[in-house]
Amino acid sequence: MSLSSELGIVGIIVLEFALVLGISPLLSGVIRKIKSRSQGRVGFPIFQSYRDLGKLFHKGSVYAESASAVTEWAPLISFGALIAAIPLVPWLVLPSPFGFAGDLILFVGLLALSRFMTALAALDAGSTFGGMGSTRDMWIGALLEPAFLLTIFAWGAPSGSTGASTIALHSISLGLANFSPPMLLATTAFVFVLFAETGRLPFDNPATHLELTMIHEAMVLDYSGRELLLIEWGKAVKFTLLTGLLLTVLLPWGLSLSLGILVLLAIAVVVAKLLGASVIIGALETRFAKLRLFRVVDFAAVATVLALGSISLTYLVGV
Amino acid sequence: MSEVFPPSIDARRGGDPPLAQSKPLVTQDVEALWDPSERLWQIAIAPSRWRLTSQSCQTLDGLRLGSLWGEDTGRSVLRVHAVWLPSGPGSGLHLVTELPTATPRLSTLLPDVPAALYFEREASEMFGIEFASSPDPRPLLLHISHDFPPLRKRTAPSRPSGERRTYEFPPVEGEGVYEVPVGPVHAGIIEPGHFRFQVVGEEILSLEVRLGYTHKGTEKLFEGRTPVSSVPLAESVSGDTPIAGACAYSIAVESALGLKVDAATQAARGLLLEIERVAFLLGDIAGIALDVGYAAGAARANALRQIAYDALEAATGARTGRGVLTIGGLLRPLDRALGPLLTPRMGTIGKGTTSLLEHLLTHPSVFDRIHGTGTVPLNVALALQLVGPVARASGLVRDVRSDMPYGPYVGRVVHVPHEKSADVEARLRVKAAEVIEGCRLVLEFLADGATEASAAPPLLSEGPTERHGLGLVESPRGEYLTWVSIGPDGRLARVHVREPSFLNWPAIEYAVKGNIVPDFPLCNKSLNLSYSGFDR
Repeated sequence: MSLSSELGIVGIIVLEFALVLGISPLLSGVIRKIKSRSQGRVGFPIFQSYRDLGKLFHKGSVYAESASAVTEWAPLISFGALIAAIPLVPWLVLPSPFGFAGDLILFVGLLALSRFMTALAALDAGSTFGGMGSTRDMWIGALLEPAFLLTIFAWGAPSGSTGASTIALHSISLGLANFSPPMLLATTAFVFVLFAETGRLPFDNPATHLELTMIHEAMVLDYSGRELLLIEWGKAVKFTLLTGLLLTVLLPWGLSLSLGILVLLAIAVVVAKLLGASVIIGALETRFAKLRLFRVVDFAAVATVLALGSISLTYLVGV
Repeated sequence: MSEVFPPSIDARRGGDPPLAQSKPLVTQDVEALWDPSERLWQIAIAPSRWRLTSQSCQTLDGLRLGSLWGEDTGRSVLRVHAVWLPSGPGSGLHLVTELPTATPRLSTLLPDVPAALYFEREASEMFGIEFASSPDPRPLLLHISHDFPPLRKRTAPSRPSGERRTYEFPPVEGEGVYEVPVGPVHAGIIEPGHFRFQVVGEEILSLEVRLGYTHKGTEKLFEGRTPVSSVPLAESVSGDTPIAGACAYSIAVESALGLKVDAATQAARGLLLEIERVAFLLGDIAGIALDVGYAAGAARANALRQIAYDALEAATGARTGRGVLTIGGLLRPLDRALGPLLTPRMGTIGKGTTSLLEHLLTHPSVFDRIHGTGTVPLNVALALQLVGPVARASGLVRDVRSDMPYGPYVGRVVHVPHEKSADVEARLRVKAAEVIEGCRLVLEFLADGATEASAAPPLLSEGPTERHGLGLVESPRGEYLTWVSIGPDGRLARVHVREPSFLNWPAIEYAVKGNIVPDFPLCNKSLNLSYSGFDR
């Protein structure tokens, strides 16, 4: 491997981290804008999320008297786990130069670690809402994780791999045949997982002020300052990660197959795809009221069955 | 113990009750005077007969406890008043008894009259009246002990002594039961209240509400002021229904002073009351939609609500309707060119509400949340004697406008919507139907010459004796009761305000039983109880 290609790889990783971390607040801004529009409001500017994060950056942190060190470092680990998951998805180049680092099983694991750390932090101060939010969040996580893993197996079944790059390359090789029934079933299951994992309606209402209905928001009620910045930013990054994964598998076109100048084009394509997906997800979200908490079981069951159906179709019917 | 009749009854303007108003059974062996303007029988009894007479009101005459309050005459005598109201169209009963200030003791109405609980707890802390063998003598509104009962008459005002009272919540025990304390400070900007949940997993076993955080001593503030200067105070008891508050207060003062109000002014009052109802209930509908996380539906309801507030602003120049009403009529006439402006707007709201209700009820994820949630069964509604849309959603057809018609509603047909399922869905349906009926009534009052009302004449409130009056109004939340006592100097001696939420607050404790914790805000919103109206 030549020096220039090594520099290229370093360049790509910097670009990918910058892209995901940088665009995440914009995507949540876009979703908020869509939701505001559906209510006949003008809404915040789409760049408001950056200002919010900037504001948090300049604020000091307040800790509960009963809080231990967990409260301080859990948001860091949680955010770190999400950052570690970024290179597992090919954002700009196929195959991803960091595909060796791990496959999508690791991706699921890192997201679970992030969730676990947030829940642990929520329990730390011993407040009622933290406890309530974390039990609900872990419960939803436990229900949706099987569906998440099965979706990844369903996606990986045709190419025989759980690596994101391999799956994406296989999708490209199929062309339009990529939109096969098993793929669409698995993708539908994944959309359920995406909504649940990122705490969006109908699973959780990120805009609510009602502490008793909260899930994610209840867990972070005790946080302030830079810890809250990490949590809020992490939430946005998680959304970008999952949306990016969905786009890589379903619509892998536009990624550069080499380290050349095409990478710049790939950036534009990825940004456009992410923005488009955010608009669609935001519009979908406005169509739902929040589920009664225990109805989440039904949704998780549907997602699991869809993913299982996709796997069965691939192996048994060979579609 | 003095057995004299309180002066209020001696000085009553006489009049024969209509033939249909046969005397209540409890009055067979006591003297009762009929008050035609209030449609109430006035009865004074000895404290020893308090409990028995009250029980008879409930069991023999089928009346319900509308309110119970204390009064300090300042002559070493405390009075306890209780108003018993009909459960349907009919007449009610105003009981008064007198106690010596030195040893005020009365037997409790509990457990036969469950609705008496909050009233007795309040009278106990505000007047120092001891309700013998009460099962729950805890304070209600005062969190900090005072140097003497605050509503008693003294030259110096009562001050909090700085000592926080202990307040025990009954514990629930068992494996896996835990307690969730919520409030009084909440995550959103709402009024303060403390909720103590006993929970297994997500299921609510029991809930106890503790209020009083917004207690402002409003009833005390009335004392010594002139009736006219106190209208703004009456409007702000529960600031979200100022028109109903001002109306109930005005009717009470007018009854005390024997004032007559002309038809055009009555129509104007009716018009304002109904616009307020429309705007308020649309806010409730928006709240229900928002609390199930359906912001698009909430936005539609809020848009309609703004049309109603615009109409109110166009009619009066005041967006929320404050500073419009006064005793005897209006502070200034309504805009005479209101007709062409109001008619299309009410039409828009009526049509918009019909289609919004249809949309919400046919939206699967909304319907799933509201159907069967937060049930207040009929027997609970009856025992607690609930009022307003909440009672009507539980199958109790009661509405002051048709049961004891006052001012604008005398001789008017009001359609009273009601439901049986008693859940959030039923309350949503009732509220939407009331919005539509309200729009119709607004136009009816407009046709009856609401815009021809002129400004109220100046009021002379001085008189030879103490005069008492009671006002009952159907506010958007239900029956709103105000009682005033005006001294010979023409100033208010005592004002008692019972906002409908005072009767309806206990309903939340029953509505949430068996529901899950995340559904509590929805139950709460569908009942939409006033913290400030309760605490005063």
